[in-house]
Amino acid sequence: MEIAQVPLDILKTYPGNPRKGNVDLIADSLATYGQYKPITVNHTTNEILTGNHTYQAARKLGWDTIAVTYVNVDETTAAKIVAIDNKTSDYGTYDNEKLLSLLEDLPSLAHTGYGDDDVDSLLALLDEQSVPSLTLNTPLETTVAGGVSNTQKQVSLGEYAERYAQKQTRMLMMDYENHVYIWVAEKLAEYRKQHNLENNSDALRKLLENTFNESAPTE
Amino acid sequence: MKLAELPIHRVKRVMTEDEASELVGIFVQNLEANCTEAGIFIDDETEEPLLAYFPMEEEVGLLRRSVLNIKYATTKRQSTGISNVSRTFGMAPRKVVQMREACKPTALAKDQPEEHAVLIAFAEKFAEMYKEFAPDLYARDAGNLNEAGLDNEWRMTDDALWTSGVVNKSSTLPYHRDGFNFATWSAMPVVRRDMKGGYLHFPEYDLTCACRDGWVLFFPGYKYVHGVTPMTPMAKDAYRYSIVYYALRGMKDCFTYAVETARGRVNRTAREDNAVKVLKGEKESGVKAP
Repeated sequence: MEIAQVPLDILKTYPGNPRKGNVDLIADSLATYGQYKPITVNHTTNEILTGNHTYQAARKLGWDTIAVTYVNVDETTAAKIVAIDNKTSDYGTYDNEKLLSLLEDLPSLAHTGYGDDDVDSLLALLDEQSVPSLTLNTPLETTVAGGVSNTQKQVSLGEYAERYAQKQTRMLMMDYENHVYIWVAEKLAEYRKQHNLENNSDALRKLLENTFNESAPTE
Repeated sequence: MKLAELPIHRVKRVMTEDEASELVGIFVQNLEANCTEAGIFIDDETEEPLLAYFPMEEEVGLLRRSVLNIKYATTKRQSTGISNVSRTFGMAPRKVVQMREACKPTALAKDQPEEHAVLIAFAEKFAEMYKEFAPDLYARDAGNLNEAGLDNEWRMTDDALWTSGVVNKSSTLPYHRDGFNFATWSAMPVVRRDMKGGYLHFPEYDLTCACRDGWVLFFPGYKYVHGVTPMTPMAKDAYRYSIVYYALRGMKDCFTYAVETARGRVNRTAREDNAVKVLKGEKESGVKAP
């Protein structure tokens, strides 16, 4: 495959190119590293099949020529090349650990297209897998103050849940027709009075304890 | 990183408190972060500390797993009336209009005890960090809470200054002050991925904190107006969770848990008795039958 250096003025972007690219980023790459891969042009029409945004970036930079490889294809094949070239790049994914390692080994992220935010996101993605699930036995480090310096000790999540588990109540809702509601509420009020109780929760519990002759659990 | 040796960054006030108040309720515009380095930021003139910002260097994976697992609800913030996807944790004060008759733990403690326990464990870690980078401020805040009569039982942990918290899911909050809080600094760790923006802006100092993943911001949210810049997801599953720890003023009216529970039951019974009178036509009332 021959590579030709071609004046930008004779080339045409592909009409109706569906791909949207980041021309500024490509321009930064061209300005920093030069053009390290040619664009693809249909010889019969001078239309660009791959590298439309590279062409735009080169124009933006004021280049006169660009490296091109030519193909000779009909209109249908040209359209198919445009489609598959974009689709194949869509299917590319990353090995995030390798990508992170590549970026972290660089002295700077300048002119890589990546920023600190992207590295943070890669680290976050890997961190998501570091704790796949939580249970009350999940251990964690805690700092214990004392003596000359603080020390670390391992505790379980359960120890932090305890303070809250002791403070949990649930409401029991009951639903009656109005006339039954009045009867039930008045009977409960009477029962409270008889047993010197302050609320319906205690009244119902006492009633059940008396009915079944057993005490409600204390914990 | 030794928190006791955090670098000091001096920043100039660019707006008065009153001018900042006029921004309350307005959405923050897109801004570039200019608070990106770890350190304590102080007023250049008065030397009053404004905020501290640094990486957690703690078990961020646990915090991340917790907030990723939590089931969120869309709620309207009382202070701004703006909808927000969030979940509260820690302790909640009485709120009779919401049928919460007693001070009690938030529902998350019951619904997702493991996730809740992580948030509480981190309250302890943040309290330790606060003590380390600003022991005087910590002591002052602890003194304020004791003076206000906040029962120790309603703190997240014995050492934590905070009673309560909220996890905000990718929420672009307009400028606001945390008006319902005690005069204590809040802690706000952030976990995020593939989300651009979502920085915290303090207009009085034109300070825009990057809120990086795994970093924590400490600041007096009751004092300085602050708001979140717009966010743009860069991936389908992008997220930004801010976890805000604060001390709710409403908690100072809470009795001990045992008393709260008993009072709640008595109040509920009184409402049930009232409903009888209403149903029998003996009482005109706005009291609804339960």
